[in-house]
Amino acid sequence: MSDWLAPYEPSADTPWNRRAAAHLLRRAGFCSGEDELREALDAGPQATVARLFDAEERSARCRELDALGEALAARGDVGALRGWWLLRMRHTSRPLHARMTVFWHNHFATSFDKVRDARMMAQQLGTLERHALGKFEPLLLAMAQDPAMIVWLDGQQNVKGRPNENFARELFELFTLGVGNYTERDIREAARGFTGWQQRGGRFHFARAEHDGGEKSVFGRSGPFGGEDVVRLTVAQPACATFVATKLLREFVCPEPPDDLIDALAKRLVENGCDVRDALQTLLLSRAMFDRRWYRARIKSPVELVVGLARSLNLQVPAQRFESAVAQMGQRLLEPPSVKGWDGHRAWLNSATMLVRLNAAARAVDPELGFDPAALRTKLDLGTRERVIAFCGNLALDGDVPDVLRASLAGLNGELDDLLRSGLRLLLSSPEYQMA
Amino acid sequence: MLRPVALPAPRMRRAAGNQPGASSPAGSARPVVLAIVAAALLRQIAAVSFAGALETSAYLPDRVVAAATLRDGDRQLRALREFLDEAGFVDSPLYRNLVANPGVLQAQIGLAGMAATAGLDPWGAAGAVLGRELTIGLAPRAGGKPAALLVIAPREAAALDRLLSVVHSMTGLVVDGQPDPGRSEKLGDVVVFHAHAELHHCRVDDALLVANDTDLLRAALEAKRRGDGRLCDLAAWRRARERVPRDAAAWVFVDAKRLLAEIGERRELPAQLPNPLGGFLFGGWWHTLRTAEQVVAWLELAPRELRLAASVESTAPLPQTHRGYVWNGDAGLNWDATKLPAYLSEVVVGRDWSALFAEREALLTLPAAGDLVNFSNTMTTLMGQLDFADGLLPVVNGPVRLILTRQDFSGRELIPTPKLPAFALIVPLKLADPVEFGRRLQSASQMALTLINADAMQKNEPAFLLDVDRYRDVRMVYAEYPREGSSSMMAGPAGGEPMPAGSAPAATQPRAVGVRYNFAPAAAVVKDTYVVATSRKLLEAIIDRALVSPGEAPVAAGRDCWRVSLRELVAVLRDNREEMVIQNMLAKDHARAAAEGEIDTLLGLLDFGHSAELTARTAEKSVEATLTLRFRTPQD
Amino acid sequence: MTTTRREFLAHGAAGASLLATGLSLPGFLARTAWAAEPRRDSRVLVVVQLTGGNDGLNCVVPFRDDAYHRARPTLRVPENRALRLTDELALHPEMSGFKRLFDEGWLSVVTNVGYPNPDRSHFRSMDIWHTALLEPERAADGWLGRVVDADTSDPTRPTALHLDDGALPLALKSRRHAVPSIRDVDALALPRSAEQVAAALDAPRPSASDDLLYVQRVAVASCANAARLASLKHEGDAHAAYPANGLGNRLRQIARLIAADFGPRVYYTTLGGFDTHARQALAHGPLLRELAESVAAFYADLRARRLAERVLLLTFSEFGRRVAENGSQGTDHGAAAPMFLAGPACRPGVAGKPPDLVNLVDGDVRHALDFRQVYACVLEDWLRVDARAILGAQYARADLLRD
Repeated sequence: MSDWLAPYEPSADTPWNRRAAAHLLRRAGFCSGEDELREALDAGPQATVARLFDAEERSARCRELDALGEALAARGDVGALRGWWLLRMRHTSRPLHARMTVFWHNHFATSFDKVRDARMMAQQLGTLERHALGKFEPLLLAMAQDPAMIVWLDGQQNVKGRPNENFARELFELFTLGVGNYTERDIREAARGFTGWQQRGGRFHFARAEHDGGEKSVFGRSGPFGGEDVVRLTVAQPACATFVATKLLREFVCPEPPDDLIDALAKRLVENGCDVRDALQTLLLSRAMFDRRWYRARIKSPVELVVGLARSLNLQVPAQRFESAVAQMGQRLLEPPSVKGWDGHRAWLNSATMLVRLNAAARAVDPELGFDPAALRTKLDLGTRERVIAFCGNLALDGDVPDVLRASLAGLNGELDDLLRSGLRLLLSSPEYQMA
Repeated sequence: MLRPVALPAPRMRRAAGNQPGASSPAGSARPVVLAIVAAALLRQIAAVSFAGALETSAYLPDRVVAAATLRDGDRQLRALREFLDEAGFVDSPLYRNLVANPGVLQAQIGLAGMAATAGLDPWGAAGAVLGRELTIGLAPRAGGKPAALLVIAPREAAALDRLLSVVHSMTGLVVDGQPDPGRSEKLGDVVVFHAHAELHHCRVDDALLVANDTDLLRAALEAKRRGDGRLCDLAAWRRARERVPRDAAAWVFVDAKRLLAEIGERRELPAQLPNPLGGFLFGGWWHTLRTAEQVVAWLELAPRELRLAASVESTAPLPQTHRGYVWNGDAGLNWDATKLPAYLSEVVVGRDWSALFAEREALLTLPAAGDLVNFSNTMTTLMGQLDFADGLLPVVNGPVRLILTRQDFSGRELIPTPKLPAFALIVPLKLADPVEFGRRLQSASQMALTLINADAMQKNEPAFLLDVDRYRDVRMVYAEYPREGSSSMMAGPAGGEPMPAGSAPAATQPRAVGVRYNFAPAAAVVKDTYVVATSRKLLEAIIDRALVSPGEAPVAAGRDCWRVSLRELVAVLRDNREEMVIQNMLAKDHARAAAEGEIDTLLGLLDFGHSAELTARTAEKSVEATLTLRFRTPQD
Repeated sequence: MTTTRREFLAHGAAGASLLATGLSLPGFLARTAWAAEPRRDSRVLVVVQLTGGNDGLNCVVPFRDDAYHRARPTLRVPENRALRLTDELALHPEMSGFKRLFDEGWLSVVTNVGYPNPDRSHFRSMDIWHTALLEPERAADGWLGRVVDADTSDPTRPTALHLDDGALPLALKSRRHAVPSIRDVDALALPRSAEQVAAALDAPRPSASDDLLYVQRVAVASCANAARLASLKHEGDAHAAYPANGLGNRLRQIARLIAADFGPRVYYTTLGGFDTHARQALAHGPLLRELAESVAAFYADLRARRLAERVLLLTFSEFGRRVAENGSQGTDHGAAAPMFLAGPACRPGVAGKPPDLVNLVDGDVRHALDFRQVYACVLEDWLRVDARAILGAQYARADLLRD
């Protein structure tokens, strides 16, 4: 396959059908309900992707929730903040935006554990959201000046004469280039560029007196560089595009993207000035995105799993339950395990976290979270056993139900409402459902 | 437009916008229903002479271990209807929220339909069911759920019979005027209907009997016939009956001895409470309850007042270890907390603290006793030189008071969320050398504040500034948060908290901050009490009252007391309305409108109240408690 | 049924299915009989953290030392009440549970454990113990978290499990894995829908990808684990009388998880309340009793289940207390203190000398053994992992286990 990023053309091999539409919506957002899916099927891939980049928040609930952020942060309760974030993902009309925000949170992984200030964490979250689908350089600069990041990677201690290299090192290793694409000297010199970048009272503060204004040499270029210069020089490194491309592909296409695909996307990023929005738009409409072998190739993160359940089944989930479910599955938002973020994919699963996932799936169709089979059957005209079973397969597994599960479904009994519950429970607990 | 049917006011006023199912769904209907019941009791009900009239308790066989009787239910319901009308309930948002609840609406329609068939209005139907007197008795039964027997004495038998015949024909218990032989039987000349396995009833003399157990129903008919073997033939019951005032609206009798024996067969009741604070404060009550002979409770109604009294009597006196729970000393209170500005609540608890602490291992479970010791140690650590158990407790002389007042945050720079009341703990002291002890307490208070500060700084949280001042010649130690924009070292650079000099904007804009900003402790020895308050303002208000009080005696000697001003409580909740709405939105995944609906329903409900007071007295072999609820007059 | 877990998993991965051989749920649960035989090959480490700074001198008492009695005028344990271990050292009178273990040769007392330049802040010193680094600020993971990351044996099993209230301790923080943290074993209950989904989970999927097979394997294994756990619950699990307190309850659950072969090689729980600045005697005795009785019951339980040989238990605290008591009949933050190792695997007796109460550093007991030497022993000789890789440096292993 030479041209991975060539536009996706529906064909006999990869038709624009329920499976393809559900795949796209799930990768660029969360598992979706029937309405959203039918809309995408009718609209076609181009219009669907265009909509994913929509700038307007159309969910009134989400706008109501947005307005609470400040009050929650002021209270200093990071648990409430986590639940609030999840509820917003649950209700948003901009799922791609939500996914990219979590993506960047994982990329610039900052933990409340050290920052100890909910307001700063909320502020960082807001910054990530604003830059979620834009160019990489402004985002990187905003992170370098982000108060939570400054506390997290010891920016406060990075002063003239006694540079602290923590931020500079992670900047190169984990945020932009990856090991092997910089020297220890680059780190030392870059750290000097960021001296005096501090926070005061939760705001970025440039402490001129602490800043080392001398000559530095980074990536073979010399000058009296400041932090802005280091950020600019770093983003201009070819390795940066490759690094960002790889991470995007892991998130949206497959856990181990082939080199030529990475190269293609990196090239695009170099050409467009590291514009993530443009790269992602291209990627989501590319052949690579719809390649058969990457259908259900990623293991869902806890956030994807739980938010997807709530969205596709139209559940009412108390924020605290939301938060603790995700945390018990190993993704305690705003407290990633280290600056490396969560490893993801197989690392999500072990026999304890898996039980939490299975229990969450089983409880999702209980009445207590507002799942209403009768209303659903009326709305979608599910009047027969066959239609109910087909609906379960469509909702949970894009209509792509393995034979073994088909046989299990056929063995279920009971009234149609019960059948709807037990059919969904069966499929939501399947290994296939854990995949995105 | 359809008007809601089951709870119409007699004078139908058409209120705009109260369509059932309108956009604001109500939350759980339970509190609302409770409110209605409570409101029903606002009206004084004429005392009724029982001479000659049937006593429903005469139907309870002596297997029954607990019985509750409601008198004049029909009249109380009528009073409720009048009250609701007078209070403009149908026009209230509370009512709109209520009828928007689908469950409530359904119940209304069902009840109205049945009543109409019987030729009654819905209120009349409900009144016919409540009747002149209603008693429910519970008896132990093998296999879990107790057997229950309901006895209703109607005021007008005819209305009840009409309603009953509608039910009979609707459910097919009576077909063509004849009882369905498959679902009924004749016991003597009484026809007993078996609606289903857990529902049986019959009409006899001037009463309706309903039970979930045929044996109990049979025993009831038999006991009534023989005039013997009835609950009302027991001496204990008669004794209890004596205690209940003639005009009580409802009363309850529990044969605790038999009930406890019954429970004891299934589950051992622990001798001690597992909760350290609960056990320490209320272990005496627990002992009396565990060894109780009988429990009597009754409800009295006065205009806009409801009084619930209960008495637990035991045969076993409190053991020596528990003597500290009996407090016979003077109440020791000579000023009235309800007169404090923005008074919200007060708790008064009298114990022999030192004696109880010494006996903790007899009163508490081992882990709870350990927790108590840990608490004592923490206090000792906090207070530095003053040992909590050996130094402080023995000199506490009289009941300890906890007082809450509403805080006013207007004009403050830092507004905490949520906005909590200020509280103060007042400990009476008996001292040989008050001056020396005052000095030690003073330094202990300072020590405590210093340690709290050290802890805060370790957690990167804002610390207090400590200071000493005089008010009305009383020396106070107090803490305060540094002001916005102050250059204090204490302000610290913690983000989101007060900013150091230079970077703060003009410090007048109120800013939301965390919950800890509700508290800035202040302490003083005021006359013969030690007062520690969470605000300097409250401490000063207490000093004002304590120094000028003209020998008030707000609480009866020997009684524990808890009271709350529902008016202020509503005010505190209203101050926090936005916070509660946010909580509701998150906790229930509600839209703002739905959350506001729920919170306003709750506030509307409390708004009927004026105040509540619970007092209790522990004696050697009994506990007596009285709960008084006062309701608001329209002028309040 | 003698199929081992590993064989079972191997089968599962190949797509052939044990669970699917015509099973409805009763069968599925009954199937757990297959796994009722725990693996005999794996070793388990149980860590009990004593939070707050346990007073080592009143725990393992140098009852012959006059300096001890002088330093502790009100708090000292009198010689006639102390439970003698050696001619010089004795246990606190409330620790009869440990005395029993000691007499059986199932307890090792390691004296004077600490680290250079002791830090007296609870937080920082605890971080040092958790990360095994004297500058814990540099670490994003804990020493046991590194064990988790180094364990490549069976990714479907959680290598470590935290059973306690509260957040995951730094010691267990891993860079790569979600270390489960639960309040009680009910969190690991079988999904209610297990009956319906068991067959569907387990059915062979001929064309499945490696990743999907992996998910399936974890799902089947986790349901089987949970079913075993549930069946142990039904059988009435405690084979010993645990004291009715927090630690006893948690150790009972850990014993059940070990018996159910749930997977972890490391279990971690805590006992708090050791920060005894005032009136220490009232609090310290009951805590030591809770510790000793709970651990003794734990080993009685494991012995009855014939699992004791597989389990090593270790206790530590962030620091000991000052040698001299303070003016409130309490003790303030100190330095070196004893650690305990329990289980048939430990080398019984007292390892190390009694504390030297004359040559103090800053009023504290000088450490004779670096705690990382104890860690190194546990890592190498018990968990059989490369201690150097975990601890980041070579430490001379303390010799604390039987050969």
